[in-house]
Amino acid sequence: MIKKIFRLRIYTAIILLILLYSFSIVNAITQFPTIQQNFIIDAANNTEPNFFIRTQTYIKRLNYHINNNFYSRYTFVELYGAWQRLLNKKEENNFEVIMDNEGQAHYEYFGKNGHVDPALAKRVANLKKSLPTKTQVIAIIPPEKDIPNYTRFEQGLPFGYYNERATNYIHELQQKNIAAFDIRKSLTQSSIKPADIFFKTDHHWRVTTAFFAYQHLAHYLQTNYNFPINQAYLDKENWNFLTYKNAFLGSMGRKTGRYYLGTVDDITLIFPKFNTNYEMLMEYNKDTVLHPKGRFEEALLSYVPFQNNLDQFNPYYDKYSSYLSGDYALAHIVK
Amino acid sequence: MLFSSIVFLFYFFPSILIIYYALNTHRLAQNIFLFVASMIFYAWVGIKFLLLLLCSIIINYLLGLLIEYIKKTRIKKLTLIIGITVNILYLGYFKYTYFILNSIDGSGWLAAQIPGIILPVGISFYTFQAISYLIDIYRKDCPAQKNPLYTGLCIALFTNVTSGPIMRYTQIEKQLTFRPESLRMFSAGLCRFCKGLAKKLLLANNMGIVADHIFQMNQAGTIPMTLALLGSISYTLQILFDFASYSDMAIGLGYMFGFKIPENFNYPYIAKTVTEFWRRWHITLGDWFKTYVYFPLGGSRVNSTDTLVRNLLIVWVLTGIWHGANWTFILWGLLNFVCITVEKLFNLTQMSTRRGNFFLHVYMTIEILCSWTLFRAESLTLAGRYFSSLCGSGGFYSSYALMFLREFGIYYLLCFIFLLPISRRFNSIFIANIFPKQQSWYMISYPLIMIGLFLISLIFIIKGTYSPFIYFKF
Repeated sequence: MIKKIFRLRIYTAIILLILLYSFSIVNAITQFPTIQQNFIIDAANNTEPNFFIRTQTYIKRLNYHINNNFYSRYTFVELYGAWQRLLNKKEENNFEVIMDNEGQAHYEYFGKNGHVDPALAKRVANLKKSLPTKTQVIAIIPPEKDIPNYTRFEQGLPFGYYNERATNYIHELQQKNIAAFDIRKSLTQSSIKPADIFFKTDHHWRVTTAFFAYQHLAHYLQTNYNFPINQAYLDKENWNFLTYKNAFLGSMGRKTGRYYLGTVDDITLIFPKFNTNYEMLMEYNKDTVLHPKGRFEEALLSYVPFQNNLDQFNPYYDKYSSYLSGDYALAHIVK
Repeated sequence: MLFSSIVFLFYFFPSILIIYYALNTHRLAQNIFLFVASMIFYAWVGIKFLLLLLCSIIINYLLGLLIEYIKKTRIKKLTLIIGITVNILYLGYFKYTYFILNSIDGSGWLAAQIPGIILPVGISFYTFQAISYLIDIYRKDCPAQKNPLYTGLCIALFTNVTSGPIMRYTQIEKQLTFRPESLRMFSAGLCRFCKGLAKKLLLANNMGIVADHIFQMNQAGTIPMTLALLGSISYTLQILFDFASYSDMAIGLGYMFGFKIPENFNYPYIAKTVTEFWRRWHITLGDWFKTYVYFPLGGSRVNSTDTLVRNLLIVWVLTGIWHGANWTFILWGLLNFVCITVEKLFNLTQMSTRRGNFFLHVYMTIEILCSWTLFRAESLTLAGRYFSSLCGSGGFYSSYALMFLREFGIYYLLCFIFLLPISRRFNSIFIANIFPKQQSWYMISYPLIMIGLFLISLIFIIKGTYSPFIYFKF
């Protein structure tokens, strides 16, 4: 019997070795060019004079590129998500993403209460003080993904108290005589269903929600500050709504994979039918300067994320970042 | 470089395995290659640390030759004492400088005058291996290595340089030149490595998530009793599976290269006394202290109880200090000392009645939970706060505790199953052929389970899940 067990171990070891070397060889062949290319770029940027620090940086960067370039990496991310789903877990990868009872993904943390730092309102008050008296300062309070009377979490899951924090922030602002436009209130009176306010797989609100907020902000400015608004610009009929079904895997979806959340979002691009002429200037770094010009959809929308066969898991092809080509420290837009 | 990293599993390990066996006809070439591979492995953590390790190897190599060469006993002993002192000062400087200075001056001003001391990875492990090298040469148990690369292998073989098991020189010396690599040994090693990998990624890491969150909550204030208890249990499970898994992987890797690395864990949580616990937990550390500290002091075979207690106190204070530069570790060592001394004085190890066994298991459960709580706490103040939480100062009920149990329940279940010697029992049942009809099930399920564990481990590694290694801090 002992001989049988040893033979069994030998057969098992052979299969394990085959698996290990298969992954190893396929990975080395497919990923080596990318790893090499990234490493060469890092090496060129590594101008540290100290030999030890320079060498250590090389090793760290090489380690980073090897870890982040694995053949079919996102298949494993999806499988991990599937494993978590199989175990019916509401948290994924050390509470990186939390799932609520409606299947929406959230970023949460182990908060204790909705305490807000008074320094934040103070900064806004300082901004107001530094501006000419005629200039109005309004704080816009966007909705949180924890939607009151809708979002429910399993008991005990971490909770960031974002809404309570926002409410306390508004209170702090009001004490300093700063106006706050609370989009959350407007949304409760809108026809947008709570499930449709935010993307399921992303932490951002939907483009349609942003459009609603745009309409209500315009209305708020018109009503409270006599801001002149051309009603035609607020009319939905004068805007194009282009919906891409099952096309968007958001920030949380890229972390957890599709199987964990069980879905991929639709995404709607909204751009005006009426004439527009914009110029936008953005400097990502010295080598990357964007300067598109033309109609709204030419200057302010990027089609790169919508090109076919692009990796949905790659954050550079995040479809949400088709608006203004993503997050930049400073973008200069001229109409 | 961690054993459970992509770099190790898919680049380093497959490469060195092929090259090692390609050099199969030439043992010297194999050993030189292993030494170079070990240095590359260690350098991955830090080039500066590699230089320190190389210095340690060269100094101990020269000292070893000197100890062997010197014939006069007094000078030989003096050289040994110098060698041990150099190693201890080396360890002490990196590990204990800030602790000592902060203990003298609580404000931290003294410690701030000496910036930039970073603890080299595995320093406690390889320094002890170096001291063992010198002492075994002095005792003439083994000859000094003439080849410095061989000294390097004794001190810093990649399989156990960062987290043990601690190998005494006598345990590795002969294996440098004679180690019978075999297919049986290789396959047993690979299967053991995969088991260790799965234990680490599935069990230890998930327990670590819970333990780390709960202990972090304790930093902000007292926590409910149920949560504190769950945190202690989680850490108790984490430290076992984290450390035991690493030892499994180290032993498995050793087998694959023909080395028989000593066992380090033997189901410690089934122990009935602390004395028995330390024969099952970190066996190689206990063995090292027994061989080089306890026995030279006289051990248990001393005439007076006072001497026995003194010997135990020295060993357990040193054990506590070895684990870390914090008063919590020293207190932890003292707790073990008290328990072992009481057990020896009252002969608790001889208790064998059913009722006695039950009380001993209760005693051990409380002792293990308390000692690991103390071990995990970042300071004495936080340890005190945690213990007060365990006594109910923060309330009783916690929704967080329920949530952790709900989310990680399957892992807790697996931990409780595998902290018992179930797989060993399974193996012995099949070896004894007690269920001949079920043999075929075992023959099919074993490889499937191992392959399944390996693939699931890959998923966890490539996803990049939370993966702390507790004993890396030593």
